[in-house]
Amino acid sequence: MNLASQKVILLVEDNPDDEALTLRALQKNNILNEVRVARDGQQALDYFFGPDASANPLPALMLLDLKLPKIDGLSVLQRIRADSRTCLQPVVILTSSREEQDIINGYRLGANSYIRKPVDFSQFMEAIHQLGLYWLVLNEPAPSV
Amino acid sequence: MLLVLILVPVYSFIAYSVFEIRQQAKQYALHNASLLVQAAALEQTNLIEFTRQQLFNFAQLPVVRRPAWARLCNRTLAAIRQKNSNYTNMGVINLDGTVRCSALAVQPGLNLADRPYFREALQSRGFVVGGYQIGRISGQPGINLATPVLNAAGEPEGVVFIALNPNLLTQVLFRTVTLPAGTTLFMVNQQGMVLAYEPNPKAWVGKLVPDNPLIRAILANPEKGSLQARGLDGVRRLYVFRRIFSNGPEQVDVSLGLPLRSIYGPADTLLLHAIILMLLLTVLMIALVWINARRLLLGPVEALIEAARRLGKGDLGARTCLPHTPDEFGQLAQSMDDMAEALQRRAEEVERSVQILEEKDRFLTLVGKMAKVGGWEFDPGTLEARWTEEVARIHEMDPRDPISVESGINFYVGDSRARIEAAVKAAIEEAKPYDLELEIVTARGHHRWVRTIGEPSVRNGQVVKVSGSFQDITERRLIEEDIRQLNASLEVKVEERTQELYVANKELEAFSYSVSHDLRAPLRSIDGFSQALLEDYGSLMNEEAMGYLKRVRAATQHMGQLIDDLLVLSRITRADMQREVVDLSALAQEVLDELQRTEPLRCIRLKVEPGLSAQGDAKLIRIALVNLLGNAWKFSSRVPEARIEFGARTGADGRVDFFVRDNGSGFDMAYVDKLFGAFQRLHLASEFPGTGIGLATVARIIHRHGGQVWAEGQVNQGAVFYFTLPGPEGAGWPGHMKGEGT
Repeated sequence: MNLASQKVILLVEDNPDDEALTLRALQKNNILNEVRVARDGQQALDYFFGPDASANPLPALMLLDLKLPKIDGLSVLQRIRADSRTCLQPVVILTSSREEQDIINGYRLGANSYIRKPVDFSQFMEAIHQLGLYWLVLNEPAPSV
Repeated sequence: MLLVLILVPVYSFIAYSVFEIRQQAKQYALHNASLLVQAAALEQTNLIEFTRQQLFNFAQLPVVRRPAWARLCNRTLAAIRQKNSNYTNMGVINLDGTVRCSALAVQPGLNLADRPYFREALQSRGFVVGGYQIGRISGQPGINLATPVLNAAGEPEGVVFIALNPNLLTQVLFRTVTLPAGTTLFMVNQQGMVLAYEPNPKAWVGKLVPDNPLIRAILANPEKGSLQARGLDGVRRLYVFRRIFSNGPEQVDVSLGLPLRSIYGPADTLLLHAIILMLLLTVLMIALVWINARRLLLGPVEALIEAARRLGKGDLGARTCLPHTPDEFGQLAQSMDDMAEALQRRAEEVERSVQILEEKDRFLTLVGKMAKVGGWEFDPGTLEARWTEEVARIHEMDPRDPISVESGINFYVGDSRARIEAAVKAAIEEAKPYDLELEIVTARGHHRWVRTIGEPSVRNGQVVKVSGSFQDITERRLIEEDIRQLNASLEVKVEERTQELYVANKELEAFSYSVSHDLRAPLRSIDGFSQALLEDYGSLMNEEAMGYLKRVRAATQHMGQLIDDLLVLSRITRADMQREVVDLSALAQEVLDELQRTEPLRCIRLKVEPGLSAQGDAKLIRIALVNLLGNAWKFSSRVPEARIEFGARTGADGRVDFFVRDNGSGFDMAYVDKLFGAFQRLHLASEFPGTGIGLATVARIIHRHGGQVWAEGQVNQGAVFYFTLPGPEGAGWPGHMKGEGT
């Protein structure tokens, strides 16, 4: 887990309940990586492109909700993919929406995965477990440029 | 003319017949005369022979032989002569030529020694026939026959002679044979002396007439002959002649002259009668012709003329009223009557045609009036025009008023004027037809819309006429205007509605989006934190508290399912359909396979009829099948030997009904109406879980394809869900692909 602890997870989530539940699910699944939380689209972008951005490590995984205050998730994704520094950033869309249009647009803008938040917390736990296992353990990220 | 044609041959025939008869009469007369002449000759010969015998007999008589008995001899001979009228004289001549005895008294000193017959008789010592001569004793013509009187030594002692009267010969013949009046019979010798002549011997006998042409001709002829000539008495006769005696230079010819009248008389009479008859006949025929001409010719001709005159005047019922006999008039009359008949028929046909035409015209006028349509035409050369009453009526003109192209065009106003002028010009110059809707101002100043159609008639590359129709379409135009306005307002309304619909759709989308996002989020929280409570504080709660929390979680999850199903239903309503041929059998098999994977251990008999396909949106149809087959799967879960079948049958009107059948719990047909309504459930959730939206979704999908869906079922006996879809060939189905609710 030493290796894992060095990897930062950026959670972009405006709903505090969801934030709490997500954090709980990560914790319950023994994903002990540092989790940075952005509560709207602007904060998410600031993490990458804000004045203090240089101090922020590029996250190993970004969990992006789509319905966000100020700037919505897809716009955030677009901006991230547009920048050469962050274009390879692993982004998993984690949202309540199962609208086809959202899924298509998400992938079109370069989302790496699209996960729908199940109502059933047990299923949510399972989803988070597999996410962590895959992206933080199994997946070999692109070398930072 | 006809008369001449008939009479000439008849007359010719008669003339020929008469000629033939004359010829035959002539032949007959010739023949008869020849026979007579021949008979005369024969009689002569017989007479001479008889006389020879007489002479021989005389020569033996003693009175003849003895010169002493001269007186007795004279008496005897005179007696004989009296009994024989043929004998002019008879006697005996002594050797010195003196007469020994004679029947007639002899003048003294008469000597006959120079007579040829005397000399010849002495010389030949046999019978001789002397020539005809005038007797010296009798002073009458005669032919002397002589034979010598021989003594015992055979020396002649004298000559006995008999002078025959030639006239007797002719006389006998003339009197015994019945000859036509005017007939002459005569004898003539080589000198041209008349030896005998009947019927008037005294006038001619003994006369020398060698220069008479008839006599000359007779003498010139060697044996016999015939000729037509004037006789000695100047009468024309047919003469037949024959030489009856020829002795050295002496010759005697006998000739019979038959008067021409007797020969040709009958024939001439016949001819005369024929001529008279023919004249009578001619007169009669002319009379008949004249009479009949009135009856047979003039009558019919007048009848024909009368009929022709009446026909000419137009009385087609006129007939000649003549019998149709096979003659010229009959034929003429028949031809004329036939012609009149044909004319009458024709006239009747024309009458009928005219009636039909009038009827049609009346009908057309009526229809034209009702439809406000008429016709017109004009001559491009003269620009003279004419139009039907209705066209005039539309222009509010008197139909009797004269009209020309120019005056017609003058009715058009504004833009219409330029258009009709251009169209008429093109029709005349380029034979271009036109069909225009234009505006006119009528004679009374009313604005009207008209449709005028022009069709040029081209002959030899030249437009010879332009004709067309003309219709008052004012009402239609007004209606069209109304419709146009209505349409315009309708379009505006549609636009508004579309906009509203678009907005509503957008709202619905936003709503769905927000539902999917925002309604679920709290549920997730409720469920999540309930779970957290159970996990973190489960030890602090009793069984009951934990049970409640579990119910909270079940309810939130059910709610989540409801939201998901509603979203599906909403998406189906909004989704654009992609029409394609869908392999229903494969799709059903796939869905069943998926269901089987969720419960690998469940033992169930699945049957899919192969080769079923339909047209539709594959994704939507899949959702429908998932719901139907899922229901079957679900409701047959409590049956020990569960069966699910997907198939098709031929239903009403030959359409294909697809079906999903199971032998599960079924349903009560009383509630069949509720089956397809959203949130309608016929079972308890504890029996069979579900949101009650599945069949509503199925119905929505099938309806959007223009199909139908219905169900049959029985409690605990299973259910069958039928649906129809457009056929794979895309035909034969009312393809309402954009279904209701969009």
